[in-house]
Amino acid sequence: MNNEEELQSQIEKSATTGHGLDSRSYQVIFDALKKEPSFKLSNSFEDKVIQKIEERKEAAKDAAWIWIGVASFIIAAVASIMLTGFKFNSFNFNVGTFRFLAGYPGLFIFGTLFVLGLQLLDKKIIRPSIGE
Amino acid sequence: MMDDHALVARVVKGDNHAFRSLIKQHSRLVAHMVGRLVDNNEDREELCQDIFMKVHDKVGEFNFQSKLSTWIASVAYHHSINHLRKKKIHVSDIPDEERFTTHFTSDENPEEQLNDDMIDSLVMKFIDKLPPQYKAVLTLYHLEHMSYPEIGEATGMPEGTVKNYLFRARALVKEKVKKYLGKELS
Repeated sequence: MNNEEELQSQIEKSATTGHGLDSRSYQVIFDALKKEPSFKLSNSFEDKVIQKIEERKEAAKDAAWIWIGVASFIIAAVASIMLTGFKFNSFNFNVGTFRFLAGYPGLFIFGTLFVLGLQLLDKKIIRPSIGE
Repeated sequence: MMDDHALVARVVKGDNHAFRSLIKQHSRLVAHMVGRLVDNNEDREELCQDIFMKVHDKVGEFNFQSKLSTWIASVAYHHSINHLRKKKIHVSDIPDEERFTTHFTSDENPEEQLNDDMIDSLVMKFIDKLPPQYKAVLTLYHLEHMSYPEIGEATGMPEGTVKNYLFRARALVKEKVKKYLGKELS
């Protein structure tokens, strides 16, 4: 152990060897190092951490539901293709199915307004009532 | 107070009340580590939150080979070092001894007379200028009263390195403080 180490060790044990400048400097340093730092956590620190953990659990649940939805969609699509004997190379896109709407313009307008109305109801009444 | 085994078992089961109690027991340690290693006050509290979230995630892997406090200190140390790296603050190497000593001790020109409080804050200002590895070792030793092996476990440093860093850090700060005290005495 060299002199400097010896001095640190003795000051630490409060067995000071003299009043030299080195000893005094070390005493000042050891005293300062024992003091609590100025940085303090807020009073609500634990609440904030618990809240973050809960939020993360909810986000994980939402993500799980999204993946279940995506998986269900893929399974349904595969099942439909298999059950209906759908073949990609013989597929032609046409709007024949919707041609009947040409005779009922009111039904088309009603359908559009009805869907918009439902969305508005959901946004203004249902979502605020469940706190989203 | 619950023992560490029971506390950890309850946290693993998802008991928020137990985790709250774990935070209460170790928040001082985490705050000391982050407070000493990270300069930016705005980052500090958020970093402490992230550390406890990491503790929550990983506590199931804790195998009681060390004290719970040593393990939490290790999470806090490594998370703080990663934060400094992300902020592009150079932390990978301890600077070359001679060059760093010369640089560290040469840029002060004490002019004013100091009282005790001023000396304390001056010492802390000098400590802030040390490499983070030195600051971590000083904090764990002087504030948390950890032993050399415990500091080694918390920081991943060999015991000899811990002793060496502790000695060098104090010696470097002493050289600075000496200049001020010398002025005061003359």
